[in-house]
Amino acid sequence: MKISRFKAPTIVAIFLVFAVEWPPPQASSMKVTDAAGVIAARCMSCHDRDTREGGVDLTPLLQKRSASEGKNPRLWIKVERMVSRGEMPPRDEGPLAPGEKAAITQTFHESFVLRQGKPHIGPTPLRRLTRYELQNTLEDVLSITLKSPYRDTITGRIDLSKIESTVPSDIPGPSGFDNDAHRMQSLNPPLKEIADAVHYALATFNNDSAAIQTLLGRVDIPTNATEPEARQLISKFLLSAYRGNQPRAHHYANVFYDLYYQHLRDSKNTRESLLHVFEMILVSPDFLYRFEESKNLDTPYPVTGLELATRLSYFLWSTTPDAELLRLARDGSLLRDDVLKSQVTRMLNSPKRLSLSERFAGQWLGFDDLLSNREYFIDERWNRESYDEALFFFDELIKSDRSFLEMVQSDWIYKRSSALKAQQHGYVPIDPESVKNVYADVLSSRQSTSQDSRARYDPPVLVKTKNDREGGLITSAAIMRLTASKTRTSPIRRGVWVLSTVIGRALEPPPNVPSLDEAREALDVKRNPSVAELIKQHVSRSECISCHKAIDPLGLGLENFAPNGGWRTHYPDQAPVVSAGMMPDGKTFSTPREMKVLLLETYKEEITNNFVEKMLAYALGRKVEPFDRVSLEPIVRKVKEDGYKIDTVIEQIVLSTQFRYRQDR
Amino acid sequence: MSRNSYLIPRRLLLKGAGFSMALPLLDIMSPAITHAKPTNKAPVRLCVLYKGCGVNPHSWDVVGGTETNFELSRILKPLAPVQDDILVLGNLDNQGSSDHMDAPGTFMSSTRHKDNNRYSFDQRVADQIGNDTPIKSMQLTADNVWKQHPWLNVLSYDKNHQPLHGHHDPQVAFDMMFRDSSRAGRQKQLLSVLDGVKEASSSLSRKVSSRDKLVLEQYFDSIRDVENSIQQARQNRRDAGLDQKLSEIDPSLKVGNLGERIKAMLDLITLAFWTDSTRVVSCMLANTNSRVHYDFMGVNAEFHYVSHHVRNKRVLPQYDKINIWHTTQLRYLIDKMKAIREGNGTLFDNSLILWGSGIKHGDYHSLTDLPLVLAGGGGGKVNLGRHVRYPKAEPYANLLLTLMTIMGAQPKRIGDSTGTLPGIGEKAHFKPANPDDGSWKIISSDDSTLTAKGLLRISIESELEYYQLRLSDKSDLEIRIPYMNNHKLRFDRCVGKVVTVTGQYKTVAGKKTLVTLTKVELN
Repeated sequence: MKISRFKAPTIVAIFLVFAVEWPPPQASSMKVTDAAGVIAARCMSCHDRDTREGGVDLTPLLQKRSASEGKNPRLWIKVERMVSRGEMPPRDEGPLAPGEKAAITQTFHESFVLRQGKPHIGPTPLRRLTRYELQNTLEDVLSITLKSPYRDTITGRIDLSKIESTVPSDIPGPSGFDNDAHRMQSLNPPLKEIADAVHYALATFNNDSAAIQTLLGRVDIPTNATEPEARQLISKFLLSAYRGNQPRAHHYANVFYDLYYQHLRDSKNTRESLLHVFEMILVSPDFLYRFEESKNLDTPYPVTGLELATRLSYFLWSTTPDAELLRLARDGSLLRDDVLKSQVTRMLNSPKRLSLSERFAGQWLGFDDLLSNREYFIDERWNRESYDEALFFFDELIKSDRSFLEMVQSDWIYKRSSALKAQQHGYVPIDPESVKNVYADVLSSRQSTSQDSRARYDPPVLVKTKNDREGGLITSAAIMRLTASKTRTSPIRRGVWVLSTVIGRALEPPPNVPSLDEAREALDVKRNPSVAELIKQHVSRSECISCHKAIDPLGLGLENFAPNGGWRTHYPDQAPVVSAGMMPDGKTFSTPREMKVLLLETYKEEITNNFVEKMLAYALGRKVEPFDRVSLEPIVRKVKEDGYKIDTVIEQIVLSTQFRYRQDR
Repeated sequence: MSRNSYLIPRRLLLKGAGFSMALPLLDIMSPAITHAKPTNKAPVRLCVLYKGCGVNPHSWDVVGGTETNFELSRILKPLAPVQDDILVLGNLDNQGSSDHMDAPGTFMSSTRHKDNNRYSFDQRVADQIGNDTPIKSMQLTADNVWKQHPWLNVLSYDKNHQPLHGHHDPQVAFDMMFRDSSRAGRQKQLLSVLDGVKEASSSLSRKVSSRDKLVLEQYFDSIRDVENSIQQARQNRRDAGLDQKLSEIDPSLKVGNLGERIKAMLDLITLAFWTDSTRVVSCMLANTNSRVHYDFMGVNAEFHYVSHHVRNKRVLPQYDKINIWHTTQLRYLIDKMKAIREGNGTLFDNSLILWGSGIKHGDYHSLTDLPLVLAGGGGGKVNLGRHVRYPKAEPYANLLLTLMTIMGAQPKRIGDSTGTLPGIGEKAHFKPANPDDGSWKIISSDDSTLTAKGLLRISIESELEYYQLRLSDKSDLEIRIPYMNNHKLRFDRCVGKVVTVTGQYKTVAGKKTLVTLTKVELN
């Protein structure tokens, strides 16, 4: 009795925090049978050890303890997904009874969503600055420019900045993003390279009196500083490098002064010794890692204002928090919902928000490859402009608070201004002045004065679409190029891209495929089989059909787009292009636009879930796990109510427990 | 070892000069061995060159001949001038996965990515011998950066089963090894910075979670790695005057297309070995799903696309062309290493090069009978100039075990290894697979048909694919038959075997050529 009296309020409190529906609505009204029993009765005829239909063997789930002890999570996630979506059992086996379905979903919920009956957020991983974040942060802390400019010269490659060519690029982790904390932890940090990058940044800083003025409040770093002067400069530097964390900066001030003093005995030059200590600070763990104070708890607890400011700033800006965020963090008001919301709005109005489109959309949709993967290189101008068309499109969704579903189809796009200048194209720009103003900061680093037309970069401009070919990000030059080879398109590659990236289906690699030659021979009666007929024959086997009936139409619907994104009606061999097909539900289309309309109609739910999940993964720096559902589901609900607005997704993520709390175990 | 190394790659790179120009320079530079830890013997270095996407087996396989007297196949033909410097291996089977993403790691470890226990053989070697050099091991990949498939380009996995990603840019790899931070002044400063960081960090007790503490330990591990690397670099530099020599040179590595990039990487490997900057390198020429267009050599399609040469028509000539070109890259490295004197021999004598692909058949992704060539004397432990085809399939892992043993690591096993391979350091003396018993000849012939027995091969010289029947008198009977004729008889499966064929022939330029086959019998 004593125990329950203490426990009850805790559980209530947690439910308030999470606003989760529990128990799930169906559970109370049905007779719930045991999940292992359901699996044994309904799944094992195909998924036993011998048959392993689709490569899935469910034998390990037959033991009662398999779920209750949180074992075999991957297999369970698969089972729960197939069952809750109604994809399994297959149609000819008859659906699960409501009680059977509830047994699966409830077992899953109890074992993998909750922990000992309570919602939680999993242990919070330690975040380290990515290369991109390091460069941004060094720029902001030191008030210098490190990024490489949009160049006028033709170098035959996209130039890397000094930082990018010194520090190796980060490798995306299970979340799909390079800020994945678990992936970063699995590799030792490239300290030597980071130190070299920092060394370079400080040399730049040392030669820039405006930068020194901004950070240290004087025009140069003194060669002959007094002790109080040196102490003050070190403290200022520490505070800025340690993201406004005064206690931490204070702790370190004496240590770094001592190290400065040691160095000064040899160097006899206070500037040299100050720069030496600055380098230490920028290589130290408290700069490179985003430490948060631990209470060593296995339940979620809120982070401090400063910690929240840092999380927010790296999510939306990929850089250190600015003065306003720090001020609101220090007085604690940032922890209030209304203040937090207004800060999100403010931050999304700042040009720094472009980082979100660069790192989130660039990696998720893959258009980042236009700048980093040589295979996609055509020339600097084409790659920059195609990249920016996609980048500005995504940014427009954020800037104008639009629905993310417009990625599939929209009546506006960003078009390179060279297409605009040639009058015959007839594009109508939308409110050019406002675009100019909004992008003033962004565009200032993207001006080109070159006389060489191949090198001259023109930023893309917001225009009305003028025909039903255009619209959305899917058919942008960037995506069309990234999903084709240099010389030919592959409907399967494009279909797989849409299905896995936009819709979020996890696709298994194909089993051994019959050769296209066999397909050709089977079609020998017809002299010139079309691309669609060939593919249909190619994947006619039953184990192929289940995926390809979804993949193929999505790709075939995009056949009118050449590898460079240009519209075409004929293949290079003069065969006519047919952009027609049938969605898995039997609905047919005959143009790309019709395909996109059906795509949205068929997969709206999945596209929405996928978008929110991807954005959450990016914000948290880790893969989304089953226990995140307690937050994910309410966010998705709210987003749907709000008309699929992208800013709602961002705001709801920021307000979520996953974003504002931490947990140690 | 000479620290002058530097001039040679530069001359080759910037002036495109051949070895004839570089060699006299070498002589002038009196390459006295001044190795970090002076020993009487030069160290052995390991280089793995991985070529993705398999091969067309018929174009690869060496057919006929004996262990020491054999004719190289179409793909291996570019190695003919250095045939005495290579060891062609056949009938080694790997286990694991031949998946696009997985094949490179499988090649290096005989394990699957899925099992999460990969510890590649080069890293096992590096963990044993790598601490004696400034850089423990180096990874390079000439293929493009594929962020969507992070494992695709990875050959090496460390002892914690973590993938080690390669440098894509030879200039960056060069800078890492020889520039800025390897300068004495900067090294000293960097050590002092890291000392300071250690001191500062230990001064504060922090409230961090136990998980975060583990990450922090990793950070300090990295500091130790950097310190060790700098210590080794200093030792390595002593008496060599490397700084001064580097300062005389401006190595602008021109790397536009893939060809130039690979050349620069091979130069870099030679340079790294020669300066004893590292003794273990893995380098990926192409991954096993390579979307790179080899347009600089006139192949305007993705390598991976043409590698599926069965399902995609008319790509075989291009596929062979790329593979042959990869062979010329090995040739380049061999030539380069042989041109550098070391002790009483050459750098090549003290190197061990494994060159091959993780899969055999480009379309079927088979893991049996992998395409493999060894080169380099391995410090006298490899007997070169041979073709060894194991009479019974042996685990490929046994080769990895053997290479690790040669490198001085003391491995117990790797993957499904059962022991070291015979026939590497000494002659194998296996019976030839298809000995010529004198019966290979035209058995009967009339005006239009003939029957002949012989060893079936594909043409080595020609761009076109056609077949040749090797007869006992060392002549070849040509077989040029229509695709469907070949297809229905499944004729191409007989390549490499002794067959008796019957069919119609025509006489072209005084030579009989079979143009239709009616019967094929395996002997």
